[in-house]
Amino acid sequence: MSHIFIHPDTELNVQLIRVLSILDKMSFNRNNSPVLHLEKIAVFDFLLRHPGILFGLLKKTDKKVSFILEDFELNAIGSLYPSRDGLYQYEDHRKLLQLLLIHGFTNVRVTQTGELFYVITDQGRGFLDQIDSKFAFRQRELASGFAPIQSQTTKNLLAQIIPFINGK
Amino acid sequence: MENNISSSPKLIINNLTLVGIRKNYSVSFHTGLNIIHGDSDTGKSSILNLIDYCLGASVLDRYDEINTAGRYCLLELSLNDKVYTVKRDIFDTKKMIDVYQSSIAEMDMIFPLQYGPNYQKQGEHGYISDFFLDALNIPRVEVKVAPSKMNSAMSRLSFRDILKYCYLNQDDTGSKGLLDHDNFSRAIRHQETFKFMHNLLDEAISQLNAYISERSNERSSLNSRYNTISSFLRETQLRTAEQLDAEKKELGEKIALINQDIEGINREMMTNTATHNQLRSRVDQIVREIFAKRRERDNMQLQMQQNILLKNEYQQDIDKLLTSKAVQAHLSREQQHVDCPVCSNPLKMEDIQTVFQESSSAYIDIEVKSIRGRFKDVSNLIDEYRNGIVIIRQEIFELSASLDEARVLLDNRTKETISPYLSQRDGFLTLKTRMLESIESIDQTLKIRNQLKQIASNVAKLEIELEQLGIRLEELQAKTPTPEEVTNNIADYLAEFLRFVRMNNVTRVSVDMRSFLPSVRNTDYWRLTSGGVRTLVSVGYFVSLLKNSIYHATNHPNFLMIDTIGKYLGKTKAGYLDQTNESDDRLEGITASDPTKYINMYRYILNLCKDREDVQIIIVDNDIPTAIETDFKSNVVREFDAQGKGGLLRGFIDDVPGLT
Repeated sequence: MSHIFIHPDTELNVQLIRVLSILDKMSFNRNNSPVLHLEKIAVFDFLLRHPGILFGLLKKTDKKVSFILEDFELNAIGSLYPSRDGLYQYEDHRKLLQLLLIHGFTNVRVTQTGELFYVITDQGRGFLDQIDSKFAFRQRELASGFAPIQSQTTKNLLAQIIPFINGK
Repeated sequence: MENNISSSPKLIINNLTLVGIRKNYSVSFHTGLNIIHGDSDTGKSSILNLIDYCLGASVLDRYDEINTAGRYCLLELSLNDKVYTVKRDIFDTKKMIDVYQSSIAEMDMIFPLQYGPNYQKQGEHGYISDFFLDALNIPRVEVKVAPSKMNSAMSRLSFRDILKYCYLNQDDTGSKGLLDHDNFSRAIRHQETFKFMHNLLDEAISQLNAYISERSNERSSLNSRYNTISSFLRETQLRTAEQLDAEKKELGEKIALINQDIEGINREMMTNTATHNQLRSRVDQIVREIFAKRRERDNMQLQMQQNILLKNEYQQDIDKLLTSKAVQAHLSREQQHVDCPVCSNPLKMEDIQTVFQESSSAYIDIEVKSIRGRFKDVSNLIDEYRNGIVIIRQEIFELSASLDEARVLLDNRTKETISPYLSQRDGFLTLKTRMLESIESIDQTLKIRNQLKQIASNVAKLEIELEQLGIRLEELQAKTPTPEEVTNNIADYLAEFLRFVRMNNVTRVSVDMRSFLPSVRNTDYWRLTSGGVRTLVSVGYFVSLLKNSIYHATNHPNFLMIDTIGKYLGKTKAGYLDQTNESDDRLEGITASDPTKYINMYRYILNLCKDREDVQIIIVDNDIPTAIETDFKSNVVREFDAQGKGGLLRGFIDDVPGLT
């Protein structure tokens, strides 16, 4: 499959690594309960693409920040001009999760109320360990930063993110 | 005692000025007959109202123009030949009234005396009514409230009571209610005033004696005050008025010379500093260069910042593409299928993958190589901008140093050139300020001197007045006037007036000895049905009172104001027509088409005033008869035309916005 123009951010493998990094770090909370449903994965994916917003959100709510923001993450065209659409691309994320299911990198847990949660498998974690790239390492590092907001509702997270987009 | 010097008091209005916000509005008057005429609503009557107000009236009819244009009014008048200026607020009728013993032009040179506007409010120097009475040498007396009762309460007679016989306003002219005939208590008051004015009160001689004694004491007190102040000024070696005037003149000349010197210094200073213009333009040029360099630097910083953003973006793209390649290397390419763990539908990899972009490893290599090339170019550009910014910063630093140097040089040179001028100019300014302060101090001292002068002049005036009072007392003692004599005299004058104006059937003219009101054809004034006849009689009566005071010693101030002399004589406002019987007017030969009587009234009054410096009559009318316009030209003091025709003023307030 050849392309005239490559947009690295939407490359399938780049997106898989981002979602897998989220599943790797945030599948379970402290009580070992799954927390990642489709909407939250979409929100976390947006924050991974805009680490400046993640940093600002954590600082603003006095949460612990476990990473140091790099200059290129703050001063890059994509970081300066975020798009709100990225928050709601549920269909793309559904397909990405289906691919991860096919590869056996993720599993689905269904609760008694019918809610679906995605969790990483050992195979998925093993695969991620094999990827030796600066980008993949950084995604996992940044994904660890979600810990303080891991259990917040999607609605609450969206309410906190939107002012950062509007302010740009 | 028919001569050209009346023994009665003398009140002459010289000038009325309404001091306004935009300008002042002024009318000057002279002795004898003064005529103000013009269209309706041009402010003619308000002139008489303002005069009356300055003479102590309790109210002032202010129309809109006066409300918006005026601040206070000034009335310059002569009372028994001494000039005074009365200053009164037009909005606050209860405010103290200032009286200056000077003309309007010189009022700044003296301290005013302050009087209460009525007997309810006393000023620092007393009441305004008492001021007028004293200035006119009219005794201050009390009259009985109920004259028929032996033990009647007494009430102070005021100057306003006397003025009732000197002001025939628009409402009173030809009115049946002349002199409050229909108001018992007021009518009694007027009758008592009439008696006082004509020395008919039983206690006239004793009152005059008491008054002479009071005035005598006043003269002694003033003399002693004069001596005390005079010796104090002598001991304190206060300069004389002449010395002060000379000093003031000299200082004024010196100030004019200093002003010339200061102007000369300013001119020279401007000429000398012109030699520094080259240096000044160098400073301006450097400032412009620094500004241009700063703009260039800011522009470069912006460019550099944008390239840094691009470089960071390239860096991230390379990382992402290399990650994509690494994933490809480790991810199985085998097509797999699983069933959905939730709905059990089959999930096929080939179906899903087509949704996403997945570049081949080879293509990624090409793209990475291309991005790295661009990354390098951008890095070079960033370095270039960074170096450029450093160079510009250095240039700005050097230019700023040159600017500082040039500015210091310019400041020093300017200082060198201007300093001597500045110190010289400051010296002159200090000198000028001192001289202005000296003038101010001289003015203050002059006011004190003038105060002394005023006391001296008051003493001199008192001397003359005491002499006149003595003569009057002698006359009274020799022959006390009787009501019959007084009323007969006035009735004779009235009959003479009515015959002169050619009123029909002038018979049985008399003045009632109780009401002191006129009667004609054996008919009381208020019973006359023709408004025109009433006008002739009322005007004739007031003029006769004045004539009587000219030829006999009375307390009437030889002053008369008549508003709308032509009322009911074809010059009647619609509002007054119901008070006359127009058919009776016709029977009396009073019509607009025959102005004979109207013209004759003017002629009589003019003859009365002829060659007299001790009488003043002010008449307000819509117009004066065309037949006598030329004869009366010198008597017209103000003429208004609502349209401003013939260059005439549009009204007393002649600059109302919108009037062009």
